[in-house]
Amino acid sequence: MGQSIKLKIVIDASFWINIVYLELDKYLVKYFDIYMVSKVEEEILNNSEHKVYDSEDMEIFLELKNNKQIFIKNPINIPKKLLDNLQSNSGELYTIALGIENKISICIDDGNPYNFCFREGLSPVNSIDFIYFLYLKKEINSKQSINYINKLQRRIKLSYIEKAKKLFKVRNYD
Amino acid sequence: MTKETEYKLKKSKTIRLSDSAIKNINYMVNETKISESELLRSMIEKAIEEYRLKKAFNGIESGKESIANAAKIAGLSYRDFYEKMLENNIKTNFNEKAVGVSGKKLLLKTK
Repeated sequence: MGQSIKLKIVIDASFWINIVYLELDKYLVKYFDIYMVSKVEEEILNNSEHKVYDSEDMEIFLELKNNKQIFIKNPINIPKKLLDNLQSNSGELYTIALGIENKISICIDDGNPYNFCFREGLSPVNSIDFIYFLYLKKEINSKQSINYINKLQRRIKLSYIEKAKKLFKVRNYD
Repeated sequence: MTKETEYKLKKSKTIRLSDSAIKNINYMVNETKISESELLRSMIEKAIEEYRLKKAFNGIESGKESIANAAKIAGLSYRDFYEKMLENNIKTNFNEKAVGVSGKKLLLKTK
């Protein structure tokens, strides 16, 4: 039996940091071929003079990259609309450009570029969307989903968190 | 004095201070045993850092700036700025109309 082809996604640094913080990276690997642009790799590895230690997400990133479960790829073209609306030479700019170029889902936990993608109909995925996806896939139940969302309370605006929690109250997949 | 320090200290500014500020500075110089100019320099630099960080945080909370741009405003790397966001409880501002939309679409794509 051959391996099933996984869906490709491209993710930015903020999404990666939050997903590893939630310990949901195993599901990313299970369902997707993960792509990142070089700029995001730089942002994750952080070679700034202030770095004192390698965080867990840096170590997991390097492990998955070495195991060829994370691929580094850069876009060939950057659409003008992205250049006009996003920060130049940034991880989000190249991540969204790669997503558009390859018609793959863009995973991003950064409000400004996420909202830009949403306005443009690009269906961006943030860590709460990913939790909801895992819930719909029946990987996690509603209680676990809400626990994961609660862990993001210090990172995501409360009104968004509260609205997201309602997704799990109206459905009954457990 | 190194070349870098010479460059950093190239320009001078003259400011007028109130009597109480002068008294406080003298008190702090006596307490900390560092020179008056060194003390004032560090206070000004700290205030500049705080101003830039606050401006960057406002940009994130209002949803006007991306993390990369806010990090640039604060003069920090992406990761260092992200850590500052966490330390200061600065929350990402997503469009609430998007709640639940992409999770379903992602599910459909994987079916």
